[in-house]
Amino acid sequence: MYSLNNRLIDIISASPAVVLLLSRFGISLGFGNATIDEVCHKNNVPADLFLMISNIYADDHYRVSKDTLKRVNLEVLFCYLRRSHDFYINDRLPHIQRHLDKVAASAAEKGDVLRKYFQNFLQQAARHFRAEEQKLFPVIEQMARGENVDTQVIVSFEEHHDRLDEQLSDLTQLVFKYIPGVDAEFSTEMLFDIVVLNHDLQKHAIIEERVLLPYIKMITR
Amino acid sequence: MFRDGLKAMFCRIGYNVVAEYSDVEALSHMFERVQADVLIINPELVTMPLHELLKKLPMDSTVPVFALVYQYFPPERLAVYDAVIDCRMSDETLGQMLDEQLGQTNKQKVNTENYELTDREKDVLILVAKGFMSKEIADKLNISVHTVISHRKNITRKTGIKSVAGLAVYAMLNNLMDNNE
Ligand SMILES: [Fe+2]
Ligand SMILES: [Fe+2]
Repeated sequence: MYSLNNRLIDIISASPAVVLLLSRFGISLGFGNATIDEVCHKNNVPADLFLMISNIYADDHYRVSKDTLKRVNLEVLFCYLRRSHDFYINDRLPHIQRHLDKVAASAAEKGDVLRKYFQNFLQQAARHFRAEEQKLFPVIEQMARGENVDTQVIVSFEEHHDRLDEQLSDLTQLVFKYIPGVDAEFSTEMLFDIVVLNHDLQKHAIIEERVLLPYIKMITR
Repeated sequence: MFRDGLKAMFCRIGYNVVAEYSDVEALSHMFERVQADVLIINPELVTMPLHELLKKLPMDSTVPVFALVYQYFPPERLAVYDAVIDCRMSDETLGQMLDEQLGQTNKQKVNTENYELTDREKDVLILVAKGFMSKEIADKLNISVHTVISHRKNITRKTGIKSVAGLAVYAMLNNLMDNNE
């Protein structure tokens, strides 16, 4: 677990995935030896929130404390989550789709099955993110303002928050194990991109499940 | 005292003692929780025939059983054991013997691990791929929901595929689905 006095570069060196956070928070590079606290100050980012998400990315055993939860800046957190969704939908998934197209082209008639699988997955991911942005986040904002809301959105989020990473890792299983003769180079490139994206998606889901949900419980108490 | 010595010896040659027990009852509970590669028994303390003792343990029949002897013991009574450990053995001899015995059983285990789906698992897979819920599948196949869930776990373990969408593609690639569905 890192603290505000650690250098930003130290956490990035130990856990490279933390660089993904920088553009989502609007932190520019060239931060030298500055601490997390200093970098956040300079870029007008709530340091507690940045530290919390960095710790979630850097440490699989990290638990969000009540104290940290109390200080969550909801507006900035939603902005962060929206930017993450944009990154997945507009950058990472199209990138993986380009690899998959080449894989599918080498898989003869089985390629169609793969393309269709990925198309369905893209639609499902888009639906997932849209539902969060258009239904879940607004409801939580209203609750935080003390307004009365229909909590059905939150109940259904709590009960079925899809694991998007599972379908991506299933795609790699299908390609590697069950389609003989598929192009190895494109398949490998796709695999590595999926591994990195899945780690990101898992951490993203942890923020939603272990920060947003407890946050809701905290403010409704 | 000998047990501690043996434990240290195992440690030195790279094996782990997962549990130690002095009565059959406790041993039987242990096998429900941990997977042992070998069971070592002091034959002097076994009062009933070995095969009857083993029947009482919920243990995989491929796990070898060794006898640990401290002093002279009638060889005919040791014949039922897979191997005999003498407390005066050197680290090296013990290590060689374990590698020999366990290497074999481990190899057997890898080879016998079966990743083929059973006919019943295929029935369940097809219904999962068609989008039915576990409860619906249980009703259709006349089995309990619990059984359906355990089939689904096995299907995922064997195929490596977790999601319903992924299983549907797997079923298609393996020609388990009728084309008109
Ligand atoms: Fe999200
Ligand atoms: Fe989500």
